[in-house]
Amino acid sequence: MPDSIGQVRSRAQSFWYRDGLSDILIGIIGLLQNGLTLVMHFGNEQSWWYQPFIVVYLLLFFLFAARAPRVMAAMRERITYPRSGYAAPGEAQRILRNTIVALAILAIFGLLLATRYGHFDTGRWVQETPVVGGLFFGVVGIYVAVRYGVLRYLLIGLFSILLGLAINIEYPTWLGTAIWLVGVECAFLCAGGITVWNFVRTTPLSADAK
Amino acid sequence: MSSRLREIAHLDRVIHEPARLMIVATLYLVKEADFLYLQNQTDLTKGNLSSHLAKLEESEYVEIEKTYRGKIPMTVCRLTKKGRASFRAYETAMRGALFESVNPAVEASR
Repeated sequence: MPDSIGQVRSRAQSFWYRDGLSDILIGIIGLLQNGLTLVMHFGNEQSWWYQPFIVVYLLLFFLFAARAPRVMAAMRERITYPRSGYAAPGEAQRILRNTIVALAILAIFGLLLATRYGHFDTGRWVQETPVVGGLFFGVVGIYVAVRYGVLRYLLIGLFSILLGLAINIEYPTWLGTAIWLVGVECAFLCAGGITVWNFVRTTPLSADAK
Repeated sequence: MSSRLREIAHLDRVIHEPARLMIVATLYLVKEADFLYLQNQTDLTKGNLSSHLAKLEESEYVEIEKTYRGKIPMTVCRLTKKGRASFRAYETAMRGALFESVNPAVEASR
């Protein structure tokens, strides 16, 4: 038998990471989310524009996050499907992925709002966020790398752990957490950009698409 | 010989063929996929893939739809309910038989 069932599964699942577009989307969503952190950090709460700006920003952000799957599908239709073929994820896989993304976005926003408007001292545990977050991204990255053979996730995971540790030691503040998030999100963007470029360069268009 | 190992004799021959097993295992993981995706995943030639898909369609394990995405022709394939059930049954039977063949103690303890 040329291929075992397990290998077929692993190959089929690595298809979703092959073009790097999902990394770019994670990076963009993360940077937009982090933009709000920075506005909340540097903005003057007493300014007339502050509250309306936050509300409009949040609305636009959630609108973008909700539309993101369609944007992704349109990009895949132009870049991925003519090269490596079209596949629609199974229903269970789609629901699981959407739930994880939605929960992650809500958790980070909840954390941001709680730290900003909650009546408790956040100074003590905010400094641990980069190292805890770094370990979380690290574990997820290593899992994806080992399970689906996507090496760049291993690198992003290790980078996020190292950056989290370094910031935790050197700059354990609110802004340090924002810097860590920007670093990890830029790593996703760079990894996604390089992967897309490499994918387009090395995977020719199918005969039908030419 | 264990009873589960003997079940290998009754495996579904349509799925048991290696190339068709790859196609069905690949389609089992997705809702639907096109011909190019299957070709990339299985490394089969166009002719080979076509003939195996025809066989699977004939057995009502796979549905094939010829359509267009923009101006590009597309052959979209998806497993039918019967195909999914058959693959699940095949996988269970095969795993059980192979597990017991390398773990004779399991059979002995029954």
